[in-house]
Amino acid sequence: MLMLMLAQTMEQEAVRDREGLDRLLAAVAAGEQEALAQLYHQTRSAVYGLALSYVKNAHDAQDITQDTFVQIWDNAPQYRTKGSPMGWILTIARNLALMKLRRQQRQGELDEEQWQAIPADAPNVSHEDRLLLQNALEALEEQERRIVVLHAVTGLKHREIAALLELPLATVLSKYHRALKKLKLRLEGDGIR
Amino acid sequence: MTDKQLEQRLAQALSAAAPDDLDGVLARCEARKGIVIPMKRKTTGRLWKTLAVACLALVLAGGGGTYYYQANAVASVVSLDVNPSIELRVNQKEKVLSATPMNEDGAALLEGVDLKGTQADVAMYAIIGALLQHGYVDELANSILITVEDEDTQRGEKLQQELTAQADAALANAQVNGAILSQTLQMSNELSQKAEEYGISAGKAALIQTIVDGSNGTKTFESLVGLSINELNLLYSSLNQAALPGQEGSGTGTDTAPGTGTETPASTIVTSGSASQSAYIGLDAAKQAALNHAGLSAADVTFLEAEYDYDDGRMVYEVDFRSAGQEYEYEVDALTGEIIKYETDGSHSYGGATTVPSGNLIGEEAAKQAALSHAGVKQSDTQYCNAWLEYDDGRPECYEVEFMAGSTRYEYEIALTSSTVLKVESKNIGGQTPVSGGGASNSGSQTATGGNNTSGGGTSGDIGSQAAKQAALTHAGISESQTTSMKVERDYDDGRLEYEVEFKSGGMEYEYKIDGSTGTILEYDQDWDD
Repeated sequence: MLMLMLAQTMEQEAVRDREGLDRLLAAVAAGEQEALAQLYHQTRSAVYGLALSYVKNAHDAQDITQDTFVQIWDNAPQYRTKGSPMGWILTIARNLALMKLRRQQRQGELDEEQWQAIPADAPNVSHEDRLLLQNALEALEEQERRIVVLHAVTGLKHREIAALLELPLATVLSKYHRALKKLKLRLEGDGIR
Repeated sequence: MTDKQLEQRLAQALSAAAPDDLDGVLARCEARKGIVIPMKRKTTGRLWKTLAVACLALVLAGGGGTYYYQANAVASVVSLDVNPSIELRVNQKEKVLSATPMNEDGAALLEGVDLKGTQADVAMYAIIGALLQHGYVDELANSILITVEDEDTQRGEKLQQELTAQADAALANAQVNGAILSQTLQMSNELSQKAEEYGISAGKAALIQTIVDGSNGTKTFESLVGLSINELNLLYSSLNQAALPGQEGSGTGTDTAPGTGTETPASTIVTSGSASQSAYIGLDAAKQAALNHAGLSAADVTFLEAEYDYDDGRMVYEVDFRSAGQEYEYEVDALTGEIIKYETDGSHSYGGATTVPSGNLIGEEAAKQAALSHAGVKQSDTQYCNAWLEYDDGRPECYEVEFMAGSTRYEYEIALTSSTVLKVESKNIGGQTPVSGGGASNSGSQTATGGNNTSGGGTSGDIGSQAAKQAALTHAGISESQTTSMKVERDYDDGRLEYEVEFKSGGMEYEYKIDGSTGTILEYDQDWDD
């Protein structure tokens, strides 16, 4: 457990390391697959988390995650350093998620859809994790969910999250605090502490 | 569980759940490597029809289809802002290398459309067409911002002209009175950072910066970020009118940033058409509203200025005029025509306020005396003593008097028309209560003021800050050693002595209000410490 936490923290720190991400993107632009592999490991849970917060089901989120990295590979040559490589990556993911949602809307696939946070065949996911994710997705409103996931997984600052989601900073802050409170209440109700 | 732990748990769960299929990604990447990506023809978006028409139009117009071999280097970046915001990367031959939506509306507009490989002006024509179709450009908001970022200013300006001409043509074709703002800038780190920070295009950032620079410090970048291009255009043109009456479009340069070392880009904004004010009441109506309020007619006054402005989060008209030796300044809500603020020669008042005739007020000096005599302090014994008229919602509410005697600071509220004391607060700045005096940090402060004796006022018993702290800790069930950020303040509220005790412990924040004479807990609040 501790090791996991430690690995987690390191992953988050890696994400916060903008220069590192910028360097990786430059290497990806130059066609280095190894760089893409590193980028993938550092940012996949952020991309997946964001995708999941839009599309609500694990399979679509998985598809979007894969598409995102393929697009990163294709578009990295056009990436210009603007200070937030993570923001750039997540914008790609978000646009893909929005496209998917719109397609589904047109096809009328979105009725009464149940949350399916985790694929049934996910060996690494403990029962607790499963419960936590399911709760996070169900208990929170759309925007709250995104804000919490982004803050927890991406290492983005509230200001950057506000920019990404096109919301005022104050809204992001208040929704973030409200969401964490809600989530805690819900988890305590389920006996997770 | 603290917020941090919760977040870590969530991050861990997501990390476990996220797909770990690098091979799947790499397989797809490899397949694409070295292959020129074909334009996706499968989509049937409405934009495509427009695009086809546009291509045809261009060919018919005699442009001819000279298609150059595609070079992959980005030469210019074109951004287009209406509300949808789109960025086009263009190579030397003015071919589009990529089209990226910069916001959700932009994404909706570009969905299923691949502009890759099109000529930049054709793409522009098509996009404007789509904007019109989707109702983003209409008589209420008709402004379009076209920005060309290019290291080579000449090339950039040429592209800017071509694109503006195409946009004009598209608007004229649809018989819409559009207003186009266009600018060419060199890529600057500073602007890019701002753009990234606020999630807007570099072009919009440059426009905002130009307005901020021209506003004599009355506007901040942040306050303008949320405005639409149409609103910014209105602001920009009223700034320009103020600077150069009758002139329509000469831009001011962006600021010279110290320390960046790079040459700062001078952006010149070219405007054509005028921004729509149809959503607003218009300047004439604003002038009339101000005149009505002042009880004057247009014949009585000389207008000094009437312009469009953005203040406190809303669009307003500022109307200034002079009549019979008096100057009037009005701020009129641009949407409703309501008077928000007005000033007449120095005295200022706010909309809807009924002003209290100044003859009835006791005056600041009398308020000061009322407070001092209530505290039993002589003005000569105070370190400072200030009094002023306090406004609430534009109405004078009371006098506030603040003074410091010894180590005690007093805050008084005195009634407007009598010398009644409405509220007293006194605070011992020394940190210790005067009663327990021994440990006071500044030893000289007790002498000569008399303030310490009277600060206790009518309260006979004072439990002291130690006892107050203890009462709070006992109630919370923790010992002082477990706490951090302990803060105890002695306060008067409604004439009663109280202690405010605040501390943090175990991820929680506690706040207590303790009755200063009995030690009773009056209020408490605990919350997660963020």
